[in-house]
Amino acid sequence: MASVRVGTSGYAYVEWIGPVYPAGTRKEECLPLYSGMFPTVELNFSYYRMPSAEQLRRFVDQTAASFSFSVKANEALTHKIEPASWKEGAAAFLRAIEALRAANRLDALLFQFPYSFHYEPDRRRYLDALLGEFASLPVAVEFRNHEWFNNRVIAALRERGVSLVSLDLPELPNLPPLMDVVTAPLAYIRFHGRNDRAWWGSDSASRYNYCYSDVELGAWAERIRGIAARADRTLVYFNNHPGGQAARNALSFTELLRRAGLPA
Amino acid sequence: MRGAANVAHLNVVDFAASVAIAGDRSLADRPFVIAASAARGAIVLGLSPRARKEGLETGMSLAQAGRRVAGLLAVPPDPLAAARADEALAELAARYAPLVQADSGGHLYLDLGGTERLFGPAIDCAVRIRNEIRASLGIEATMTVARNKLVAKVAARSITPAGIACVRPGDEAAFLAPQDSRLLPGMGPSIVKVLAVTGLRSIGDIAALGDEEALALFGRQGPALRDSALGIDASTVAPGRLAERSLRRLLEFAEDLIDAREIRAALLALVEDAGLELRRSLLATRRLRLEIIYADAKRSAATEASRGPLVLDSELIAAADRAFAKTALRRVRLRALTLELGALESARREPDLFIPAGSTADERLQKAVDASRLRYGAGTLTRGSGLP
Repeated sequence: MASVRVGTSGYAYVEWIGPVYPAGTRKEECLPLYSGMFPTVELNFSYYRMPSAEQLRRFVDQTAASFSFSVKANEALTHKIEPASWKEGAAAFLRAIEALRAANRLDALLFQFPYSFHYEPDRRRYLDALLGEFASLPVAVEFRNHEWFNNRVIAALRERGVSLVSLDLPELPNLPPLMDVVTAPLAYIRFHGRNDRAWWGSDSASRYNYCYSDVELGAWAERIRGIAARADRTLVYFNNHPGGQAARNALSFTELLRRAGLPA
Repeated sequence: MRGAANVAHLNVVDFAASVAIAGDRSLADRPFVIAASAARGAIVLGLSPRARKEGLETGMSLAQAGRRVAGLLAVPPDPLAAARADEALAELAARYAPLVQADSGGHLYLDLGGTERLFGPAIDCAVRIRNEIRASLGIEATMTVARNKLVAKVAARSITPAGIACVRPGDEAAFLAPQDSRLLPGMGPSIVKVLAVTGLRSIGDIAALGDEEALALFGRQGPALRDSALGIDASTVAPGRLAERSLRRLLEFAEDLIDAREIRAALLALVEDAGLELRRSLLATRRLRLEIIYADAKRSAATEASRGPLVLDSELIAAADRAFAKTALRRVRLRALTLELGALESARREPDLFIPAGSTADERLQKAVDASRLRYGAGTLTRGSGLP
């Protein structure tokens, strides 16, 4: 059975000092401390500002050789797409992540598209072109709009060896359905919390403010069993970061997977 | 539509090949086909996952398949092993679900209503069943959960060959809308032809048809097809194995009937209604039983058994007419008719939900072209031979 690596989306939250990191931890000490707890992280600062190769090389140097990174694509490629310039953004992103790829520390690239990214011909053409730019790398795509969860998209992702991200999020109309489909050797799962009251119209701190119960995580362990049976590698990231809940849930989930006999 | 998403659909793609792999794990990574004999003229009946990946298809000749994939293995069908696997699937599902509809060939519907306190939410229970099937039988199944069988079936087809999906109550139409229209049950060759000509590519395109458009494109049963595209399905999980079940329809008349034309019209409506459900369930029948209830409460019945499977309305109507002629021997007003389709079996290939209006293929095509031009404008469709 494939390996399952569990981590969190982001690691450098001020509010984690105390609940996750010892009091007094400085920001630059967070990553080494984090890498002592988890085997992988989903870097998400890269969404807000384009990462540089130098920066990512430093991350490699600060962590053990067994630690690896997934990188969330910059907003210029997913949320604020400029038809005239997105290819420059893609090139800059590719240059940066080369530092991780060359060090054999790259788990995956994550392209997370917003709810407003509809299943429309222009968007489909864009997605096709974007995936073409990153064809040689392990890529996962997360859709927040339910329209993309159809047989044509699944077949197209499978053809390109791109992962369709499995999601845990609130049960609200028009959000993606619950769906685990392995479309590539890599499986990618993201936990966003189930805070249905704050999902729309709130900042990310409120939207992702949720702590999973052991029962909820236990049900997910069974889903992971099915996913891991069909994938070579499975990545799991908790994005419910407020108050360090993501780290708490990631640790207990790892333990739960081990107890269930899964290779976490 | 009301109610919780409690209907689970378990579907084993390429069932015969899956059963063969479960019996011999060394086959798991080999491309092989299921074929009745190793003769070159034999037809491919089933595919292993590797054979499917190589682009082979069922229905092609073994010789053709062998030319495409070097070292292709032909495994004979094993009906006994398949029946045993079907039995084991149903038994395992019945440990969790109070109602299990066990269609053959690795197709099951489970009603998980009322089990939440015991096994958790329906989708969690479905995942557990899927995992147990893999662990104990070595068979990979797709598991989907929805509020009704139709939506669960489309979801399974959408994610095939494996995975899980759950369509939330209220999201049925939204989930179906972007799916390929061919994923709806009952999209046989005749309907697919109309879909192709009219450019109705997605289920949402069909769902968007008004009553008149649905009637113009597909005939009398068009609105039923449109309703399917909206995710409407009132059929329930019918417990039992296929051979033990039957499909029943009762038609009670508002006033007792004696007029032959009115009675025939009622009989046709009854048969068409039952036929629609038969084909939507991807089934065929070999036994039709018609019961007449007279105004004086006396009853008579006749049964028509068929050597071959009956699927289409024309076949069912012919059998119903014969049964009616055999049993309607009294000159007394009728109060009701009961139709029962028994000896059910899986339809061998996707049946047309109905044959779109128009008696010949050309007429049907013309009707679809006309309706399409009405909808999208006269210039949207023209004969290829008329193009410069």
